[in-house]
Amino acid sequence: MPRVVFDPSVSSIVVDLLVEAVDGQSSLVIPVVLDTGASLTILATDIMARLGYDPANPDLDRQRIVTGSGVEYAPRTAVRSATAIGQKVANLDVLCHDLPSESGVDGLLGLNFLRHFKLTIRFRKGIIDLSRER
Amino acid sequence: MAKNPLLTKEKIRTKYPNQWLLLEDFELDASTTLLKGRVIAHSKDRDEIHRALKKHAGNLCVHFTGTVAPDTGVIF
Repeated sequence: MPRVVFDPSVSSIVVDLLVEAVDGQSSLVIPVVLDTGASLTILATDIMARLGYDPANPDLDRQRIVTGSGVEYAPRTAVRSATAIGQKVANLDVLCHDLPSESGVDGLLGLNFLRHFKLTIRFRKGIIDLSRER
Repeated sequence: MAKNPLLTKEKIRTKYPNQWLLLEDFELDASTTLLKGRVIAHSKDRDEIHRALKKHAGNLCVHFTGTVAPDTGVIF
């Protein structure tokens, strides 16, 4: 079973997310926060552009998002695949939105990824298990 | 110009503390966690690393070796 170990004392849980480029020929690995409070996965606009997606395309749907500081709108598109904690989801919807660099991440891993799996977080031991439900 | 050496994540974090990094020739474990890589750009400024992304092709890894300040809460 895929397992990630994290420091239980840190303020947020950061994992590596591997995102496949639009042409399927390359990929990027970026740090993202595991966020069960986010309904959708969010990736930085620079990251999406480097992967060949077009976050500035005016034809993209703009998703209404409610954040801690108000309501915003962000372009919504799908990536070919995203892999984290050893599990892969194809054709994953993401929002193109930038988080402050002080966050130390380039995105959020939200529920639209996590809900495909059984997620177990052992906070005291700093262990995350992510497995497919049988 | 000679390439930087391939370093483990632990050595990378020691050599480049509190920085944003861009890595090539990286390896992940079965849990998609970075094991090692070759540093091709490093900066305190994330925007510099995002600009460096545009200059390099192929599979790359962005990594941050810092942490959020202990007196700072995080809410997204």
